[in-house]
Amino acid sequence: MKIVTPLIAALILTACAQEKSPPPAKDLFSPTNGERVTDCSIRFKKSGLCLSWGWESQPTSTAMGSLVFKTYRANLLDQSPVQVDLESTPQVILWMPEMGHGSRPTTVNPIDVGTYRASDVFFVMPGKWEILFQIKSGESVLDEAVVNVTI
Amino acid sequence: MKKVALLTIFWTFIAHASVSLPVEGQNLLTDKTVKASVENKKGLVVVFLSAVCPCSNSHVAELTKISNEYPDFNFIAIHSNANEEVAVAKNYFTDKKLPFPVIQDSKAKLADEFKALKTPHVYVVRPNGEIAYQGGVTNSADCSKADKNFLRDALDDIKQSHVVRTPSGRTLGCVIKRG
Repeated sequence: MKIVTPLIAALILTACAQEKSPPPAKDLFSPTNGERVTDCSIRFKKSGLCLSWGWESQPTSTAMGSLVFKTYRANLLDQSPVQVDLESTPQVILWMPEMGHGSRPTTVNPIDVGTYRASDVFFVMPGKWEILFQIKSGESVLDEAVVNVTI
Repeated sequence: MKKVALLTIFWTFIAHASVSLPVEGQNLLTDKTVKASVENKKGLVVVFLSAVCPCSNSHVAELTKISNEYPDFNFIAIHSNANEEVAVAKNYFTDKKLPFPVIQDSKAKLADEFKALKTPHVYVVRPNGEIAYQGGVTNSADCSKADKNFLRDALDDIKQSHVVRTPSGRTLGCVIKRG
């Protein structure tokens, strides 16, 4: 009996033990009430287009990550966001304004209408970073949207 | 005999050319002090760039790629040209979004220390301060027309613990104007 009691206690404790899982990443694209969330608060400076974005795989201090972003124009009738392709595949540049340098180049590929994946996302050091979504023609930047993140 | 002696002196000079580390100066874009060291790295790549020279400009994308592909090395750019306004240089390098800092070398102190002649002029410095490679990034003034990439070759040699086969390359570009 002396052996059985601690064994039962141990089994109960083990059965209740839960592995601590990391907090869920913010998913801007998860469906809510049957509709996709289109957070259009991030605006391109000139064209009036906007974008929403979210981490697909968050980068770490040793591994690259990827993010997915969607671009929208305003619906002519009610100004609601309508997903739209940009003139050309945009570039995503990681820039650290306080340090005056960037990070490694990212790779951007279109996935669907107005939907792009930026992979090879890596921040070379912790601190305040800007994620620049740039529409370019050759070397000149036609339009740009900026997201501030702290790593 | 004279020729041999001169050649020996020349090669001794080349072999032992060195600079003091870290390379320190004012960040062109933030005005803060920046120190480029070789801590935990195989070397430091120091490249003198211009904000207006087309030869320098043609190598910027390649330098960005190289810095990405060789994470064992730190990179730093230096802007020493006295004939290029700081505001112009700031605009240019802000647009370029280089993955490494740019030092504003207003009195060309670093250019003098490195004996940099043109833009782009690149140096690969080992952790002991020894200059393992100095010269052009490529063998062309226009990077897109180059068929030799001296900088990549030097970094590959160092990565593989080989002696750098080409320790100096011809520097083609625009002359750095001292003040």
